[in-house]
Amino acid sequence: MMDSFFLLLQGFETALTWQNILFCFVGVMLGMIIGVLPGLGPVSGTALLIPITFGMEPVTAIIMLSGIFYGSMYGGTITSVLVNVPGEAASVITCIDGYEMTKQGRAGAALGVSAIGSFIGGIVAVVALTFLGPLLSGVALKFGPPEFFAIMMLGMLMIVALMGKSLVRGLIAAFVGLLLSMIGQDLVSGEYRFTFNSMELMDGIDFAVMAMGLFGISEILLNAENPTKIKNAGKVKGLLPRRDEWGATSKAIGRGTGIGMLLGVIPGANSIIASTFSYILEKKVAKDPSRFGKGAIEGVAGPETANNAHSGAALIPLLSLGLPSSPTMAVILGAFIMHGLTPGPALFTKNPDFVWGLIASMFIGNLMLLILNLPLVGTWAKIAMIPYKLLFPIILMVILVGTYSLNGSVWDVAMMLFFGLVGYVLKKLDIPMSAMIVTFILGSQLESSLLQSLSISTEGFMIFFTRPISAVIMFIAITVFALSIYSGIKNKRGQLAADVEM
Amino acid sequence: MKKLVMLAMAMVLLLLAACSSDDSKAAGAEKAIEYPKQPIELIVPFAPGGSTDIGARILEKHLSKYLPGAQVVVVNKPGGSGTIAMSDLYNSKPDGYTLSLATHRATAMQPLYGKVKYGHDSFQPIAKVFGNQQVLVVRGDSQWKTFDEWLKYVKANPDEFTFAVSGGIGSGSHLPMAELEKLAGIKVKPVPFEGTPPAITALLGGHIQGAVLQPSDVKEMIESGELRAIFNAASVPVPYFPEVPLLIDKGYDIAYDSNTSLLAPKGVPQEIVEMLQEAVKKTMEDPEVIAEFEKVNLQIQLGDAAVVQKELDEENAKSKVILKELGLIE
Amino acid sequence: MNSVKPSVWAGIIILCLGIVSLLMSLQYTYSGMVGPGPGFFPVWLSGIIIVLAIWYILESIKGKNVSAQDWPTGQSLKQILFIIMSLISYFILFLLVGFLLAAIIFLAILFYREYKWYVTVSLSVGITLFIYVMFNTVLKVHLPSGGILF
Repeated sequence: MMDSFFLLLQGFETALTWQNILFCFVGVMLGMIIGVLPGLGPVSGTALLIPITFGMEPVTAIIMLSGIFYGSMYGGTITSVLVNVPGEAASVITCIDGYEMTKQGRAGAALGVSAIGSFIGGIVAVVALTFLGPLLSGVALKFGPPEFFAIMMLGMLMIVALMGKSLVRGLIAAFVGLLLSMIGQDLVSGEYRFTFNSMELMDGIDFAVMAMGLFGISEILLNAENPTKIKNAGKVKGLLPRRDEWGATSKAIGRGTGIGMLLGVIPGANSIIASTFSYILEKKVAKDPSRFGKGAIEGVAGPETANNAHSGAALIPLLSLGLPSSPTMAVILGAFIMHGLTPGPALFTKNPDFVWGLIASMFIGNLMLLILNLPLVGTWAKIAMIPYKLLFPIILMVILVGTYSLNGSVWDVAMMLFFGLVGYVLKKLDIPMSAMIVTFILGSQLESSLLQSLSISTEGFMIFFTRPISAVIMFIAITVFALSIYSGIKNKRGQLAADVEM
Repeated sequence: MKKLVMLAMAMVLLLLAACSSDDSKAAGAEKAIEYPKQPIELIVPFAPGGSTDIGARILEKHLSKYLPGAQVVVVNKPGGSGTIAMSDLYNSKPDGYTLSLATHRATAMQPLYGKVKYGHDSFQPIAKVFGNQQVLVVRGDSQWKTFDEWLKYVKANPDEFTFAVSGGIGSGSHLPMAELEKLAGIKVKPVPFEGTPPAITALLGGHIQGAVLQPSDVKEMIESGELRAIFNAASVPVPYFPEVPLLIDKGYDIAYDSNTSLLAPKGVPQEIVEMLQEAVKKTMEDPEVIAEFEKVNLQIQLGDAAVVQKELDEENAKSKVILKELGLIE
Repeated sequence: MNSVKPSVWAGIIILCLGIVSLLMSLQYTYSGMVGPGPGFFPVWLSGIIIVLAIWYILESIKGKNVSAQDWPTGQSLKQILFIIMSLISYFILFLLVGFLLAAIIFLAILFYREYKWYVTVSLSVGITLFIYVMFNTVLKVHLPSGGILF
C-alpha cells in the first residue's frame, strides 16, 4: 500500500509535465464536446481521435485518450439534462429526472450536482484503482457467464417491477426492447434474424439511433404541440442543490460511487447497469419516492456518480488484466497496443512510470473537469434559456448530423426519425421508453450469457442456482419480481412503484 | 452571447488539437495519372482496437510516404463476421478510393453461408499484408502441459472440455477444433463469445477450460505463464512460440491460417492497382513500418495478388468441405 | 375518435408486431448446438408480447390505461405535422443535393416563421457552416456536400 503511494507520487511527476497537462486538458475538453454532440459517443469519439495521438509519447497519448473517455461521459450528461437527448448509453437514466429539473428551471442544480458527483465518483474509483486494483480484479474474475446472466436478469426485472404506473405497460416496453435487440446476426449460429434481407439491419440497430429518436425527436414533437406552454425556464436558480436537499444528495453520491465502482471492476458489466441500479436504489430508499420522475435531485446525483465511478473503475480490469470491460475500453486497449504497451499484470512492473502517470493524470483530469464545469454549468444551463424557437431547429439539426456521423448512413437517419415518431406515440400512451431502451441495450448480452452458461453447464438451467454468486442474485431477482406481480395483481402498485414515469 | 464566446473557445481548442496531428504530408507530387485526388477510404471489417484495425492504422499512417498525395482514412465497419464491410466494398465504385483490409476468412469462408452477394473471387487483390495463426490456449495452472496430455484427457472424457470460440459456431475459430474432433475422434464443447477479450476473461476466471484464438492477443499472457498454448492450428509455426506443436506435425491434416490482405473492388483501372501494389510493397518494406508491426505482434507476410487469390480459392474450397461435414451448410 | 380508445389501437398494433415476429421467429432453428438455438429467444419474446398485448387491450377496453396526455388536434396537430414534414424534406434534400443545401433550407423553413428574412438566412447559413466545418475538419466525419443531383 505504501509502495503504491510512493509510486503514485512519482506518477504525478510524469503527469505534471507541461505537455501531459496540456493534452489531458485537450482530451477532457474534446471528450466533453464529443459527449455533448448527440450520436458521437465515447466509442466513436476515442476511435476517431486515435490518429491524433500517433505522433505523441505513449503516456501522453493514453492520458489524452482516457481524458476523452471520461470527458465524454460527463458531456453526455449535459445534453441529457438540457434537451433530453442522452449523449451516451449511461445517461439514459439521467434524462428522467435531469430533464424534469431543467423544465423547472433547475438545470443549473442538475448539472452542478452531476459535476460534483462525477468528480467524487471518478476520484474514488481512481483511488480504488490505485490501491486495490490487482486485488479487485481477482475477485472480478469470479463473474462468469452465469453470474452475468443473473445480474442482467436482476437489472431488467427491477426496472420492470419498479417503474411505470402500470405493470403491463412496463412489461410491453421491456419485451419490445428485447425483441428489437434480437435484430441482426445471432452470435451463436450466425443466423440473421428480423433483418428483412436488408444489409442495413444485419448489424442490428445502433443504440444511439434509437435513443436520439425516442428521446430527442419525440420531445421536440411533444413541445411543438403546445408552443405557448414552453416558457423559458427563467433565471437559472443556482448551481447547487437547495439546502434541504444536501443530505439526500450527498448520500446518493456516496451510494452511486459504491455501485459504480463495484460494477466497473467486473469486466463486461455495462455502465448502464450501474446507473440503473443506482436510480432504483435511490428510489427505494427515498422517503417520498413519488418525487422521482418529477425532478428528484437524487435521481440525477446517484446515477451520474455511478456512471462516472464505473468508467474510472473500468480501467482496473484493463490495466491489471488487460481485459477491456466495454467497447470504449477495447478502443483504448487498441491504442495501448499501437503504442507498444500491453496491458496486464506485467505492465505494472515493466512500465510503472506509465501506469502511475496515467493514474495520476486521472486525478488531474477529473479535477480539471470539475474546475471547468462548475463555472461552465451556468453557461450550459443558459442554453435552456435560449428562446425555444431558436433552440429547437438547432437541436434537430445536430441530432440529424449526429445520427449521420455514426456510420455515414442515411438509413440510420431514416431509422432515427422513425423512432422519433414511435417515441412520440409511446409518450402519449404512457409506455415507459427507458425500460425499452435499457432492455434493448442489455438484450444481446442477456442472450449470449444465457447460451454460454448453458453450454458450460452440465445440469442445464440449474447452473444459475448451483453457483453461489449467481444463486444469490437470481434469488433477489425472483423475489423482486414476485413482489411486483403480487402488488400488481392487488393493484397496489402505488406502494412499490409509486407514481413514477420512467 | 457568452455562449458564442464559449463555442469559439471550443473551436480554437479543437483546431489546436487537430493541428497537433499534422503528419506533415508532402503535397507536391508528379501527376502522371491523377491518383489519388481524394482521400482513400480503407474499410476495416472489425471494431477499432482489434489486430486488423491496428494494422490498418499503421498503413493509414505510412502509406502516403510511398503514394504521394494519398490521404488514407480508416473506416471501421464491424459486424456480421466481416461480411458487412465486405458487402460494402463489393458495392463500392471501383475507382481506387475504396479499399478494404480484409481477412481471408470474411472473404473466402463467409460467402459459403449464402447470405452475401459477393463470392471469394469477387475482388481485386492488391497484396497480402500480414498473417497470423490460431492456437488453443489453456490456463497455466491447468493439468494439461502438452498436446498429448491434453489429447489423452479429451479422449477419455468426451464432452467435458469446454473451449471458447470467438465469433460463434461455424466461425473461423471453431473450424480447426471441429475438424480435429472428426479426425481424432474426440468430443469437446464449444462456447461462443462475442470476441477475444470476453473469451480470455472467462478462461482466466476458470469458467471455461480453453480458448482458440490468435497468439498475438495473448503473447504476454503466455510468456508470463498465465496461459499455455497446446497446439497451433496453422500451417506455419508461431514465430515467437516455435515450440507450440503444429497439428499437421501431430499427424492431423488441419491447417487454418489467418491472413489479412488489402482488397479492392473488381474493375479498378490496372494502373491504379499497380500504383497501389508498388506503394504497399514499399511501405511494408520500410524499416520503420516493420518495427511498428513488430511492436504490435503482427507478422508481416507480403504476397502479391496471385498469392492472395490462390489462398482465397484454397480457403474457400477447404471450408466448403468442413462446413458440409459439420452440417452447417448444404 | 372517442368510439375506440387510442390505447386499444396501440394494443392492436403491438399485437400485430408480436404475431409477425412470432411467424418470423418460427423460421429460425429453435434448438441449436448448445441448447437453445437462434429461434429460442425470439419465439418466447414474441409469444410473451402477444400475451401482453391482449392483456393491454383488455385493460384498455375496461377503461384503464388512460393517458394524461391528450392527442393533438387543430393547431397543435398542424405544428407537429409541420415539423415532421420539414424533417422529411430535409431527408429527401440530403439525398438529392447533399448536406449543405439541405441543412440551410431545413433551418430556414423552421426559422422563417419566427424571424425576419435576413436573420433567417444568416442563422441558417451560419449554423450549417459551423456544423459542417466542425464535423468535416475537426472530427473528420465527412458530410456530403453534394447529392444525387450534383
